Amino acid sequence: MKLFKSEFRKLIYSRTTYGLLLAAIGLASLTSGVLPYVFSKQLNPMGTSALTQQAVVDTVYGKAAGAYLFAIILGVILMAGEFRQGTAVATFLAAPKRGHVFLAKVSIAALAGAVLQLIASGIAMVVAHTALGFYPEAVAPSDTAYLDTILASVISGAVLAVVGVAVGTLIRNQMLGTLVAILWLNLIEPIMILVFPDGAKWWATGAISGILNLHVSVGRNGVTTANYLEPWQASLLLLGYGAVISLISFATTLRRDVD
Amino acid sequence: MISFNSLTKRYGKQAAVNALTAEIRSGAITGFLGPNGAGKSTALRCLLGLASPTAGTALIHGAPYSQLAEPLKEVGAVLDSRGFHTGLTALQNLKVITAAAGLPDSRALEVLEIVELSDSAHKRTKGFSLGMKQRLALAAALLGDPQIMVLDEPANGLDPIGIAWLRSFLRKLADEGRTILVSSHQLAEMEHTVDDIIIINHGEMVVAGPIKEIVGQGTLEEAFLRLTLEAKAVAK
Ligand SMILES: Nc1ncnc2c1ncn2[C@@H]1O[C@H](COP(=O)(O)OP(=O)(O)OP(=O)(O)O)[C@@H](O)[C@H]1O
Ligand SMILES: [Mg+2]
Repeated sequence: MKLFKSEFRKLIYSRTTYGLLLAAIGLASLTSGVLPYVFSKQLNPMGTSALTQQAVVDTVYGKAAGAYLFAIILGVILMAGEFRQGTAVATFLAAPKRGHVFLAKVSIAALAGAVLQLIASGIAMVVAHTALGFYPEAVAPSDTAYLDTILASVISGAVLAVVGVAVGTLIRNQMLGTLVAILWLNLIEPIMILVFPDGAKWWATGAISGILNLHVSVGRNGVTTANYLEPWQASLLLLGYGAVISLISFATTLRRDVD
Repeated sequence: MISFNSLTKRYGKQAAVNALTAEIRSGAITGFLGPNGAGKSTALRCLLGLASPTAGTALIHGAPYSQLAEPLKEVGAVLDSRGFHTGLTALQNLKVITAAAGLPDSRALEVLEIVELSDSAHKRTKGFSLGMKQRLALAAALLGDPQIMVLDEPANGLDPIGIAWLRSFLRKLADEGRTILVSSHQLAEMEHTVDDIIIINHGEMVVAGPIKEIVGQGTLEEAFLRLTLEAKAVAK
């Protein structure tokens, strides 16, 4: 319990936390606010606006959960920041059993990542709703769209923040860790998914899409969500990834000497 | 009580600390001396569980640091590599530690008072001078009111006034009955502050004992040079 309190204080005392929250809100809101305009310009074969399709409207809402990048960065900074700032020494002096520190940090990161995503997606969904209001042709989202988005945002936020802590443990260098996270989510995964579209569901971003439960059959660029995992499967997969990388970082690098 | 028992720490082929065996007397100030790169910090980091020894042990009350139930209440440490979060205030930095150690937050204000840093409690440590950081590190070490203090180069970067303050501060802590192990590569700096000394060089023990016996009539520096030369001659 003591360590949870300590990790919680590190989180709320640091201004970086609030910066990342604002960035997440900004990114999610911007995407959700601009997408209705983009889709309104895309026409269906019948010549109507794409916003007349429910799957497209669902996608607009789904993008509200798209700021998970900031959850992973938060996780990286929570751990790697200790080595950058040199506070790792004080942390391990107060709690020499490093497994306990790791557990507390992972727990607080999961909580923080989930809350960050919940706030960002909540605000972005309001933005999406407002933006869609400007297009009378836009249909209503499916019944589960809001819930799916909230679920996807919370799970992705929690898991990716945990993954971030694991990356920060493995790579101790804050800049490098952040860079790896950004490149992974924004470059490596999209490229792999583009090259092997059938494997999309197995990647982290594919799993998040799976949780969103979208039903985009044939998108413009040949993207299809038909073979994505069911939300519960995708959630388990994502949680599994978080657990595995945590265990790896815990087992391989946590015990390394601290300078 | 602190003891090093054949402590060895290797980085690759190089032994930073080599079969170091020593005991630190309770209730006294022991100077842990040696030139740059002698292995002082490495030995202390092994003692505090931050680095794992290649062989041997470094124990506190007969147990490794990691086995202490409430480490901060037994040992206070100031390490040269220790940092504070620059975005947090002095008080916030300490409150992160009091939370982890289960100490009351009021203790954070108390130790800031002790090291005369109360005025800067609510300032971010980013703008702290070296002397202020060193005081804050001392404050953090005092949080648990420990009987044992381990200090790695606490005088580093301090101006003469700061060093004088530190000396009398350490003396005061020792007079309260605490055991203090303080490292330094500045031999002269510690000459009038310590009761016992342990001198190491190239990771190996050169000499250990009460400073009066070791230094004799000359200065600590003379004794150090004489002893390291002797050790070299013996080695050959
Ligand atoms: N993490 C490390 N990796 C590799 N070598 C190291 C590491 N830490 C220390 N060393 C080496 O071990 C030796 C002892 O270093 P150490 O820092 O313990 O010396 P010191 O007595 O504290 O010196 P100083 O007075 O400069 O602080 C040095 O040769 C150093 O280069
Ligand atoms: Mg040193």
